[in-house]
Amino acid sequence: MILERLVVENFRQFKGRQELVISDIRERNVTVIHAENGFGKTTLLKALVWGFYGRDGLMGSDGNPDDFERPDRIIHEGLALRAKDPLALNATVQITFTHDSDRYILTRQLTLAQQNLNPKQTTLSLEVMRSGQTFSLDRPQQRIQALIPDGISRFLFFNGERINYLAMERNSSQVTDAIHQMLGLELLKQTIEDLRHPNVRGKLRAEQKETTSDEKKELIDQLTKLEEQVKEYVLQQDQTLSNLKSINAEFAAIDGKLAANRVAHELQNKRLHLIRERDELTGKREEVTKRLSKLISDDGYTLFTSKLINRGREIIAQMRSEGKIPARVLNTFLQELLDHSKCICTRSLAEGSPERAAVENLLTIAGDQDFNNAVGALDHAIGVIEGVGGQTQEQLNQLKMERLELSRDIRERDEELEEIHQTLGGKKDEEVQQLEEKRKALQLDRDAQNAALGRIGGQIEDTSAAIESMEVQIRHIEDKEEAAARAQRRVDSVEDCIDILAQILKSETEDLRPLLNAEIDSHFRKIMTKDYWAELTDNFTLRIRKRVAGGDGGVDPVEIDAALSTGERTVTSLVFIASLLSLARRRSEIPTILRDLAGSAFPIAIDSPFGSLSIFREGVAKYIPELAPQVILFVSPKQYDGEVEAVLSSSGRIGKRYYLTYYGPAKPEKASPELVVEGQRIQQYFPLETDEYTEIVPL
Amino acid sequence: MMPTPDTPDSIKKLTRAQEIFKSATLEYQSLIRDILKEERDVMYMKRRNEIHQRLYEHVKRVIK
Repeated sequence: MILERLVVENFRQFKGRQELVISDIRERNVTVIHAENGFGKTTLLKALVWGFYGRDGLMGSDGNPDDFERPDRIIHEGLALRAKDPLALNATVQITFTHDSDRYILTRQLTLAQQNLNPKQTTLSLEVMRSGQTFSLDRPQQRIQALIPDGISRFLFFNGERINYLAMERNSSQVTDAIHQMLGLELLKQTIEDLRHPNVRGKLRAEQKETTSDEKKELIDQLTKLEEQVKEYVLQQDQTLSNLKSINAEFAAIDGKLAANRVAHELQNKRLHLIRERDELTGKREEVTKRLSKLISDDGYTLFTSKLINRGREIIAQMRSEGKIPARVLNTFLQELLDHSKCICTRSLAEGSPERAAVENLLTIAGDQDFNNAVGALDHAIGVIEGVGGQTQEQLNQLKMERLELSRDIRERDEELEEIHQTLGGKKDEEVQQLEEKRKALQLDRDAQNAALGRIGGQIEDTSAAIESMEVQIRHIEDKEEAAARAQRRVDSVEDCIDILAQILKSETEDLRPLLNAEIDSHFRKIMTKDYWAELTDNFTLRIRKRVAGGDGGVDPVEIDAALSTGERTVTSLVFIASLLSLARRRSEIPTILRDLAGSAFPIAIDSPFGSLSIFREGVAKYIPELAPQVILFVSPKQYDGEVEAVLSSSGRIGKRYYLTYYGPAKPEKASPELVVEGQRIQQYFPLETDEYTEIVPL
Repeated sequence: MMPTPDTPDSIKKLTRAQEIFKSATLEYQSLIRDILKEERDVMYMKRRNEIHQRLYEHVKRVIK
């Protein structure tokens, strides 16, 4: 899919008809939209999403608006307020794009009357131009879903400052989800969910209850109750996550207000800096803890083997002193002489002869070659364990020390943060006091929600284990009646098919991992110049690895996980998305059990791509044109000026460029009235008392 | 979009997923194939009201 043009009309602050022609030239595939914060960058990105998916596209996975307040108010507010005929005013988004050499025009409209009644009810049309003729397509939303499923939209149209979540240890499920969505394996996941649905599994179980024994009936009832309990826990989990999102949004708003307050400004900025530092230190400590756990689970046993090692050494020494090892004569050699009835000195070893008796007697003291080998291996293993034990002890001490230091640094930050809270809380400014109190209350709420999340996770795990064991129990009770046995077979078939499909999904996903890693590695090297590389681990966590000098002054370098800063996590997440896009393009060449998974090229649109990159801005700016076949960037001057501008301008990859002008009674805080692009000064804010709107202007 | 069990292509080395599928009983293979076909037909639909009834019917038809 290649985007060609976005037209917005009366969509939020975009009053009247405005258009954005997107560069479709392969060599100049980047379209840049410059705008101050508050001028409408995010709105324009959301217009694209709304065009494709309607109001649903504006909502996050938790059902709350995602980075877009009041998603039910789509039409320009001023016009809506003044409108005399609600049927005559509408907001429209029109997207022109090409796909598989066909050109499509998608138009989504919402009248004010519809918005007042039900803003979800938009009117969508999709026209396709083929061989010089235009056809209107039926079921347009379904066709859009087939071209660009809404599950992948959050990896194509996103806020660059928030994408770093993909590279967080706890979000490996989101990483696998991205793989399933982008590479067509969602079908397997959906099938598993559908088979588990009450109208499939539940219905079959209800039928089973009608035919089976009382004992089984009771167990089925208990099983159903447990499943309902899990459902309830999942609902609670979703609710808690949603609460956390709201709390975090409120937190950010309060932090913003404190930063803008003259009295609190300095301390609040210091606080934000300290929080960032503390979060990074906490991330590092998590990494160290992980390495510590791995070391203990892999080699920890060697620390408790000194007694056994000494005992083993004693036994071997004793056997050596007794001459049992190495054996002076081997039993296999003696047996061979006896079998041939002839000694090596050519004497006969005939049955009953004294010579034979002498050789037979030797068998009682002869050694065994296998035994010799086994003792040799044991001796060697004891040496290895002893060596590993020493290294493990040393690494353990080092990691414990690192962990202690990190904990101390975190504690110091916490103490400083508490001090800031005390100072701000004690200020005589009423607004600061109130904000600080509210902030504290939110902090307590957030901690409580996080604790609840952990508790619910444990409950889900325990109940799921109980369900599994109960299913086995039910399956093992034999039915006497044929109808009951058949009903059991049907329930079993659903469970077994779920199991088979889950195994298929797992192996298909795992088989994609090396391909993804090859992509990730090649993309990552374009940004990072140091001795770092990125990879997707066995458990689908994105991480950056680095080489450091070996412990104990060793010459061999050791590979370890690098603790990730926000910037590194953002880079890693971008690289991961780019890798998925590359694989999605050549999907049809990758073996899969699902037929007809066609490849597709997707565009990518990023709001504030350079916001949280810190030292990686330049590297990402160089690389960003290669992120996807078509890249749309919404940038603020603060993020764009300097190194990003220099790199992108000199790359020659920018095909189109726009800026947003804002008309209104007051310009958003911190916004400059002028935009400077490559030395050119452009007025971007126009005072206007009577109305408020934004315009898209080509550069 | 169906699993590819008995095609001439299967002479090629099977993927792990194909091996898992092949190791299932013929009855299950048939059921999974039918179910996936059904799912594929509605995978891009917003409303999939009848999918559960259809899956249920497939189970009843295949497992006698």
